[in-house]
Amino acid sequence: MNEPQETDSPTAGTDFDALVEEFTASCRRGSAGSVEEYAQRFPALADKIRRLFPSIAMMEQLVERESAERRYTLSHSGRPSQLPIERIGDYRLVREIGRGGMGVVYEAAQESLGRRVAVKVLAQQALLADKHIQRFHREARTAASLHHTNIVPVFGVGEHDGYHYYVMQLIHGAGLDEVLRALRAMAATGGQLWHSSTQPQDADSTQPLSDQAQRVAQALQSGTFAGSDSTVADVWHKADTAPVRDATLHTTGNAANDSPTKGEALPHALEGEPEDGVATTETSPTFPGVGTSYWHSVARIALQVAGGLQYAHQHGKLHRDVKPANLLLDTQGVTWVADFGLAKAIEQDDVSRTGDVVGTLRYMAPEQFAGEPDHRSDIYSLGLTLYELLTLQPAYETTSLAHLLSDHARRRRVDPPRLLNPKIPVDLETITLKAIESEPDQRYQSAGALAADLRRFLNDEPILARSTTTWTRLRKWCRRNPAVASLSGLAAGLLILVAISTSWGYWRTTAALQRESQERERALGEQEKAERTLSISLEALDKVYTRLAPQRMPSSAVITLDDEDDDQAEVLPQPVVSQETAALLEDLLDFYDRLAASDSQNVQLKQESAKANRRIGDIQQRLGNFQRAESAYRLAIQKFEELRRSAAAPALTLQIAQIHNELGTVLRSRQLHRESQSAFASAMSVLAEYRDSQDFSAVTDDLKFELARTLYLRSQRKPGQDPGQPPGPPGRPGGPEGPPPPGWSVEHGDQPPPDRHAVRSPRGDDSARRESHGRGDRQPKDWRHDRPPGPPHERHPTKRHAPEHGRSRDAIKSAIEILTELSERHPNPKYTYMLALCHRELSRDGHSIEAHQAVQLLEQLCQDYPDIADYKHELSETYAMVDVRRVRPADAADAIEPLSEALKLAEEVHQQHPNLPTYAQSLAHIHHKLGTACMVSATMMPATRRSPDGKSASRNKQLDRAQHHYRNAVEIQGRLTQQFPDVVVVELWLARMRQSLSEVYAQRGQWDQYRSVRADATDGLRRLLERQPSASFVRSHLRQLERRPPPAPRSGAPPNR
Amino acid sequence: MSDERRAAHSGGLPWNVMIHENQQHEDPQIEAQLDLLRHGGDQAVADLFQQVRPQLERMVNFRMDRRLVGRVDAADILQEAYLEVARRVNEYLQSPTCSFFVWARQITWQRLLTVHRAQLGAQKRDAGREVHCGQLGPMDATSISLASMLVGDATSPSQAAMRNERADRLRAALESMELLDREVLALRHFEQLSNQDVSAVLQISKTAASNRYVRALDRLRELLQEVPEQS
Repeated sequence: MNEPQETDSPTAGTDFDALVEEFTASCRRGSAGSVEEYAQRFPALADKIRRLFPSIAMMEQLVERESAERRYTLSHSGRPSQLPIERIGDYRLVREIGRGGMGVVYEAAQESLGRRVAVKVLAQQALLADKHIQRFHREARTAASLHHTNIVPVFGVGEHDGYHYYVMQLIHGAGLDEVLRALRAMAATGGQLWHSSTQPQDADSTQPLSDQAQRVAQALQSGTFAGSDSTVADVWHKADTAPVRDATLHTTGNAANDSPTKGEALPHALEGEPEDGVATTETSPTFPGVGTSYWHSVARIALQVAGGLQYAHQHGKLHRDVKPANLLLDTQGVTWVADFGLAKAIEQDDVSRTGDVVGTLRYMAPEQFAGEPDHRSDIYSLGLTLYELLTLQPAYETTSLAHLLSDHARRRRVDPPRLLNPKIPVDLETITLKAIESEPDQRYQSAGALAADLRRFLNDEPILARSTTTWTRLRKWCRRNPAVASLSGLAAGLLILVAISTSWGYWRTTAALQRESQERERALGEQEKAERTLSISLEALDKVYTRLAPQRMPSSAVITLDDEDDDQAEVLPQPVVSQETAALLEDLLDFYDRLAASDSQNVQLKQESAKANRRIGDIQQRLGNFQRAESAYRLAIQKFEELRRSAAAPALTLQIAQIHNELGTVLRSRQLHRESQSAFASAMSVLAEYRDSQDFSAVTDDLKFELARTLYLRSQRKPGQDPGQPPGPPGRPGGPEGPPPPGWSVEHGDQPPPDRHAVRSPRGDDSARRESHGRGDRQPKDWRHDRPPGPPHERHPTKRHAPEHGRSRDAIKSAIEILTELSERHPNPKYTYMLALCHRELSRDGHSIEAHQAVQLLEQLCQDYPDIADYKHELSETYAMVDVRRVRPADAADAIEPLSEALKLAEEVHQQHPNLPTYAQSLAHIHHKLGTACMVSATMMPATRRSPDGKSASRNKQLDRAQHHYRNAVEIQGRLTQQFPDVVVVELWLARMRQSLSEVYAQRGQWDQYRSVRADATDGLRRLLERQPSASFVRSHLRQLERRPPPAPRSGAPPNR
Repeated sequence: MSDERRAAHSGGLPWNVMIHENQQHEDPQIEAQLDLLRHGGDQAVADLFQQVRPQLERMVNFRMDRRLVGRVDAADILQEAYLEVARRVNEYLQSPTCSFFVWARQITWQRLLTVHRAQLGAQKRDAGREVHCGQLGPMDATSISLASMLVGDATSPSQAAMRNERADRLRAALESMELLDREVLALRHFEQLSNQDVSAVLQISKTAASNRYVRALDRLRELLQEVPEQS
């Protein structure tokens, strides 16, 4: 159907036409790719494709189904005429009692045996080919071999004058489809069981209902309809004693209930027309205030059907067409399943190819559309029937076009029955929903299991089924939507709500379990079930966490205990949560704890709880909430340690080591260096302990990696804090400023010096303390209250770090060794990344080769993984390793170039993740550095100042640039201080940046601006001091700031060095 | 919507007034067909008809009123159509304004109409009650067929009535579509015609046919979106 002349046409319109034809044609062949594939193949037309192709596919599905159905109708429409024959073999046909697509059902007298039977005569066209006839006979024979209380017995099969027929027991009763109609009619006239809002779906009240159907409906309604497992209700005895007005029903394909009441006067039906009173005397025609009895009746019906199905399935027989019309309720309260396997028997090859339209589509299981039914498809169909009995509505509304058209839509979840009628018992709803899970694996795995749960319900025992559906769906949904991370806080909140309410059921069961110790055995099985449910819930929750808060960077990749999904393999583009979502997720921790408290034996629960704590730690760390991160990490460690005591697994060891390292990082970010070091040491000892206890070959790559990471973290100097090793000749550009620690680096790069002229800054002090106190001679104190660095002039670099420093170098070199070995075997970006950080660390001793190597590795990573912000961030940090304060004016220009590169990257990263403080902080610092470099460069200019105004233009230009960068730095830092009002370092930095800015104004003699910015700086510090009066460091800084006289105008003096 | 208006769609227009600027006489395929017909005699007509027969059968099956299913065999209609095609082929060759297929389709369509009238004509209303298409005449083939895909099996009146009710929404939607749009959908999908054939059948330009089609798909999409999806 392609039109070549159009295909070749260059215009977009006809290209699209050709594409439409191609797509349509492939739909017809059944080989169409997904719409998305097309959209991606033809990006120019993608919008149009996405908009229109689904409709095309829909139309084609419609056509396919329609034509299959037409063929079917066509092949089954030639019916035997009314009583074409008076007898068939041994049977004298008495009257027609039903007809449908498959043929006509007659009541017949089998004269040789003197009994009444039902004879189904198939439409002549139903069996065209010999093989169909053979199949029909085969199926009928198998059906005849089924002997079960709830299966209509098949007596025989035969052919007469070209008519194929089979003979079965005559059932006095009504088809369930008709009973449903009667129930709907009753509900419409004020049944109490149903909401007034429960709209009866069947409005064709024009169809007269048989008395039988009405009576059954009433009996059901009043709860007097008996199941085979209970006493036969009186009403039926009575009704039965009088000859039943014969509404005997046999179904033929679709409900064949049109004829019985069409007024044919049947001899035997007239004898003693029953007693209108029977039903009404026993069971009021109006609705008694029934309680649970209707639901019990319904459960009994389903139970009987399930029993029949179970029996048949055990004998290897599928029904394939379970639906209300094929279920007969007799006057004894027995439910009969009719037409076993008939659907298969008369199925035409061509029809079956198009998806088996034989059964009524509405009751078919999704997999049946695909032509792959198994016994669970029967369970599904029974489930839908049950659903309809509960709600009086078909589960699948055919107003919903999408349902019948596409299998995909068919898998849509139905409305939970209780949504339609809250009076429906929860357990019955749960049973129903489990039976109609779209995935066969999620359903009851046997009709027997379904029957067992129904029996439990009837006996008021707890059922085994759990409403896992929500979770399964959630899990699938999470899998499908990697972008869950973009969830609003509200959506996340909803997820969590679902999590809590679902798991509440588990908690309840567990509690109940403890009470019912006498039922231990049953309970155990139940608990197993409940645990499985719970584990699904937890798993889903885990996914939510993973998606919402994936590990911030591969360097600290979560290797979860049991997560063997692809989640970890792929490098996620690092979505990040907002503060609000973090708070929600944190709330959830409590939920884990309560859950765990209810069942202290559940290992998985503990594990999940530990994992969740760790994740919260990760999130809070990422968001800069270090204290929260710390407590979450500590809890996580505690929980994992408990677990490890009972079973030492490498995965647990790994987790614990990782968390210690994260904790150390957080502590370092909080300037608690001694504690930080001790956390790293813990990580090391956990790893070493494991390594020593095992054959080294058993140490996994992950453990080795963690070891390397620990070595790195332990040896990483506090950025720029090691003046003991001046990076090359002082003032040399490119001298390392030092990388930040993996946390947000408040102590980033140039540690906030009170003044940029104080070259040696407070940093030496820090490192000195770390070392001296690292041996435990100092009480840990909150850095806020006792921040070590005093005014800079007190600090003097000492050489006493040297031996320790040498050890650090060795440690880093070991780390590099490990990492090199790992990445040679299995290249992995996280190895490369860590390797780069190690090289950078080494480069701080002035080894430019190492710096070069770090840059190279990071550049490669950024190229390979452009989505990973952290790679760019670290590359930017590495570029920015220039220590501008030591830059000689003559070299300033050389410093500006890498800094500009760094700025570009930092801006990009910050734009991507505006809410991450690490990136914002980094950007502010780079701006500040650039400003400083420009200032230094400007100080060169005085040399030319002697020729007044000649070169002052370029000086002004440098001052402009410095001002621009300083301003940006102040602005970004200002936002950070608002976000973290209590973090001293942030505020200090702001003051420092303002001070820098003020110096630009001073250089220009703009004293108003100078004073205003200066005042801002001191005000900020004063406010900080008010909040934290014990922060002596702030006080001294403030004093210094106040003391400092404004530089002389145009002094332009170069920095001290 | 009146029957007259409905009759205007698809086969409703006499094929022989179809003279349209968009006819592709230079289409080599059509030229080859004409050549074959001119020189190949009866055998050529039979062969060509055989070629287009599946499509014609699809059309007949799709357009035939539900009430006639089982009473009238598509094969009979096609047989009669073939006889007429053979009888009038020279007429066609004298001034071929469309492809052989489009022409044969028109003839078949007319046969189908005749059968509809003969079978349903007088007692249309009465018969209509049975199949719940009371308000629709036999010309409503498109609506009926499109709506009936909701139906499992139309043989049980009670079920058909239920379905009918549920189909109401869809039918209303289809009815609300412009006649030509709906017809374009039917031709493209149910009869599997190419855009070119559609334009020939409906006597509109190819661009117009294409635009109509896109519009109809859009409309269908909107209708489907009105169905609340919960998943």
